Order: sequence, then C-alpha cells, then structure tokens
Amino acid sequence: MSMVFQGRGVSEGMAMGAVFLLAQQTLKAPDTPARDPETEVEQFEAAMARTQARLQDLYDQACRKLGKKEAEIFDAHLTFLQDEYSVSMPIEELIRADKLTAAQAVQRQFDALADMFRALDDELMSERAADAEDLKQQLLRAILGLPEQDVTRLDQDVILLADELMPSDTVRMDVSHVVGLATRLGGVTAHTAVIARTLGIPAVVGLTGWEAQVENGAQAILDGTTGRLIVAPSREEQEACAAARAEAERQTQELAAFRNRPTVTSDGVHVGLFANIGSPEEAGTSAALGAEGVGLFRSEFLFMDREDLPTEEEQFCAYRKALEAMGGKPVVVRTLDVGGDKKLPALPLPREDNPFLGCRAIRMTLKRPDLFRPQLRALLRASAYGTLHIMFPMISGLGELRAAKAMLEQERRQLQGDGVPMGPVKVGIMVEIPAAAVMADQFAKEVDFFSIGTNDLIQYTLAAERGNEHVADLYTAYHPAVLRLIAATAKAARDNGILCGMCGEAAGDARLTAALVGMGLGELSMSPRLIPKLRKLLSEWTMDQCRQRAEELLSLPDEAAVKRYLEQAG
Amino acid sequence: MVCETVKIINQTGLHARPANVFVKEAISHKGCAISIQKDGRQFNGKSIVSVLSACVKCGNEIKIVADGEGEEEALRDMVAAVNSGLGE
Repeated sequence: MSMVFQGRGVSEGMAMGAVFLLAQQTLKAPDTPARDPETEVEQFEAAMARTQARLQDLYDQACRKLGKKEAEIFDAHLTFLQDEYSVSMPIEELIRADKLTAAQAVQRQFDALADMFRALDDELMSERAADAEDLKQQLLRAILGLPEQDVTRLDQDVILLADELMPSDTVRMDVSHVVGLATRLGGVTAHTAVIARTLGIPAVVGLTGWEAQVENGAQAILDGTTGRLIVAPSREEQEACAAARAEAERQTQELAAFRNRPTVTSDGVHVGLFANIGSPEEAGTSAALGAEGVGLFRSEFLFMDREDLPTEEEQFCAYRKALEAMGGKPVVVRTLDVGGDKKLPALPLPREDNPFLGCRAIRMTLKRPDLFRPQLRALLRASAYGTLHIMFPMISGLGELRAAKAMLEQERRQLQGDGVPMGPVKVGIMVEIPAAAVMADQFAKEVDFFSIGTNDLIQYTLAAERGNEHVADLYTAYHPAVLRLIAATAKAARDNGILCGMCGEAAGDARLTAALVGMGLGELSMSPRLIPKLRKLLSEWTMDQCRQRAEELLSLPDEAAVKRYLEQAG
Repeated sequence: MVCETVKIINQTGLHARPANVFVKEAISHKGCAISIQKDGRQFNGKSIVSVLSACVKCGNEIKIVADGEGEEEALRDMVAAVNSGLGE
C-alpha cells in the first residue's frame, strides 16, 4: 500500500528514489549530571577541534564545488567559532562555575548568543542568530558523538527528507544522486526551494505526517508540481511517474532547439518571451531556459516567509543579483504588492471586509513611504547593474501614478546628489484594474510601458474572486470583456508608441498566444519553463494569421463561444 | 590609550567579510586591547560577535580605541584597514 503525504510544491518536476532521512536538526543537550569540570572542558575542546576541522573541510569543498561566494558562510562560521570571547571562554566558565556538562554549556551560551542577535532587530543580525543555531547543532553533534550522516557519496538516487535543510547539508550533497528535496518546514523562498530550483530538481516543503511513518531507504516518488510525496508507490504509480518523466524529457529534447534563440513569428516579427520570477536565483534559471528578459519580478517574495522586513541593502543586493543574472536583458520589477490575499508576517495590516477592494499594493505603499522609499532607493541603486524597468501595481488613476513617480524622482535626485551610480530606468504600470484599461490612452502618455496583469484584471472585470470555488466557473480569461480590455490596452499603447506586455497566467496560455500577439502585445511573461514551447508555437504563425485570430476572437458573443472557437481552431 | 574616528565605507557595513577582516587585524595586535565605540557603546574589536552586534552600517562613524603595548601602531593599522575597505 502506498502512503501519500501532501505538502507544497516549490520546485517542479518528478523524481523517484530511495528516501534518505536526514536526522532531526534540533538536538538538545541531555539532562545528565556533569562529570568533573576538567573532563567536561576536555570534551568541549575536543568537540571544538573536530567541528573546526570539519568546517574547514566544508569550506574547501564548497570553494571547489560552488565557488568562493557560496563558501563564505563556512568561513563565517569558522570565525564565529574561533571568537574566544563569545565561545570558548564563556562556555568553559559555565562548565566550571555553573557545573554544567559540555553539551549543556554549549547550548546555554549559543542560545544566549542567538537571543542577543535576535534582540538587535536587524535583518543581517537574524541571519547571525541562525548561524548561532547552526553552530550549536554542529557542536552538540560532535559532543554527543552522533555520526555525521554522509550525503556526500551516495550509491543510489535519493530523495532527501528532513525537518529543514541547512546550507551545511546542501553544500555537501552528492548532487549526481540527490533527485528531490522534501522538508517539513520552509516556504517558497526558503533555502530548500532556492537550491532545488537552481539544481532543477523537484522540491516540496511544508510536508507533514511522515515523521514516524517513513523509513529510511523506502522507495518514493516526489512530485514537485502537485506537492506530493508517495512512499512505497504501487506499480501503476511508478509507471505513471516514469511515463511523466519520459514525456518531460521528450519535450525538453524537442524544445531544446528553441531554447536560446529570439522569438520570431514565421514572417520575422519579434515578440519577447519573458519570465515571471520571485527571487534573484530564478533569474539565472530563467536565462538558462531562454527567457529574453524578466517580465515580472514579484518583489513581495523578498518580504514573505520571514518575521522582519528586508532592509534597503538586502533588497538592493537581490535586485542587483537578478539584473546581473539577466546580463543586460530587461528586468521588470513590480514594487511591493501585498494586501488582498497576500499577507506578510512582518507587516500586519488592518483587517478589511473586502481586502481585494481594499488598501493593497500601490495604495498601501503610497501611504507607507517608510516601506516604499527604501524599495525605490534599492531599485535605483541596482539600476546601475543592468536594464531595469520599474512597475507600479494596482494603478486605478493618474493621481496614483503621478504620486509614485514623484516619489521615485525625489529618491533619484537624492541619490544623484550623493553621487550614487544609476542606469536609465523605464517606468510602467500594471494594467489590472478595468479603470486603467479603459483609460489606457491617458496612461500611455505618462509611462514607458504597460504590463497587463490578467489575474486581477479578470477578477475585477468579472467581479469573481480568484480563489472562491463558488464562482470559479465565472473566473476566466476567455470572457470577451476581458479580451476586449486587453485589446484596447494594447491599442492605446501602440497608438502612443509604448510597449504593452502581459504577465498574468493568460500570458502562458498556449491557446491564446497567437491572438494576444495579434492584438499587439509585444511581450509575454510567464513561468520560464513554458517559454520554449510558446517560442516554437509562434514560429509557426505569421503576424497576419495572429491578427486574424485576434479579430475573430474579439467578435465572439460570450465565453462559451470563445472556448468553443479555441477548441475547434486548436 | 589612543583613539580615532573613522567612517565605514563598505556597502554592507561592518558585516560578513569586512567584519572578519577587521577582527583578524585586531587579533594580530597581541598585547593591545582594541575596541570600537558607536553611539556611546563600546564593543570588543577582537570578538566577531561583539563587532557584529554593534550593527555598523555603511556610512556610520565609529571610534577605534587601542590601549596597551604598541597602541599607536595598532591604531594606525586598524584605521588603514578600514579606510582601504577591509578586503573588499
């Protein structure tokens, strides 16, 4: 009988392998009485020596396998451990004066250090608190003599299953045999998710219920798309997984030729196929998948899954990294878009009866310059490192656009006065409120580009909430009202000589692609893995055919007719 | 005891690598205590934990204090290290 566990898929794909249970990360010092202090001190010193040697080894390995930058964390850990004023002196003092065991003293001192860092209430400091936790675990493991689980040399394909994966786990992994990652904790932007996407292997986080159920070595299937872990899969499940992998492989092969070339219609018109991303790491993967730019960097992901807000400096580093990864190709960063269904632990907002119609996105950031200005500054500073476009979300009227632009201009002047290098920045809006689509001709005179956000445009046009199952059948991009708003926005952009793109789900819908291009969209931004497929598709269409398809679609009376048309036309 | 006020020019402030370089330089001056003062609070310049907990940002000014054997030379070296960007 197979067992199925459900989590949240954060890196797509399917993998089959043996479960490798990584030990619980959270060791505790046993409540045993201390032996004589000198014996405990000796044990502590031996554990220190072993841990330092191991860190040095990890540092050397990471330098070789991942590069100096990724290896820095181990050097930082080593320096931390060698801080005698904060580590060996107080710990030996605790052993001697408070009659603690080596393990208890380590635990007490590192907990105190972590608390001290956390109390400083600074982003970089909470990372140091995590370092203190990590080092405490490493020392406890050494003191308690627990064997190091060896993931550096594996002889079969494994799916790592753990509470949480630390950088010290992932750097040592034998990447040729680790085929999937699954953890109980963590979110979309957690270390596990980022590493998995970088390696191109499936990952699932928030996976619960397996703790006492799953044995080391059990055969399992990990589905990073649906977020499921299937332990002891049936023959049918194994065959389905093998088939899905073969199909994915076949598609990858077939589309490989379409990866690294520009997107052009069969009559030679260029259309930009861009990627939607949530973290700077994904920019690298997107470029590798053939994205011609980033059409939507959801900056709110930098704010999620954490207890505090990212500093200007941290944001600057993230934007710069994304810009550099794209190597001069355009990167459209959407300013903070929270509220509605997107809540941040670090930013409690008042409860609203209709959050989707409430104070979200630009409405919120205009009221909170303490959040908005640092983000704008971070963006402007990053603009020196690539081709940056800044996009304001949820614009409904010119007043909001002008206020946001004024704030951006103030920050730009300030930075210029300080002699900070900056590059040229294009400014645009997300067209996702019907009012903006209707007034697109006016907006087009004051921005450099539009990007149509279909997810919200649909829900506001049709008054049907995206996540509400009772109106799910009403929520569709195929409603002619939505299609006409898209066409009108694209036309206004064309008439005013600016670019109109799209970054909602509809931009990746292969059935709509030709029609969207026919309406005049010059850029479609989507999940990067869809790009090769749509690039191939567009290479088979002429612009005239695209325009004709758009015209036909726009003349249809209702959603059912649009669906029927698309099904028949293929 | 000698001291001098300097401005931190590193992008990330006194963190990560710059902090490590600072502390390593301080430790190399044996026999001389080195501390930093920021906003009236004092931190041990030879302890990475202490230096990090000072939360020194880019553009902040800190006072470096050297006290003990070879303090003049120690201060000169510390100031030079900070002004040269702490290995960055």
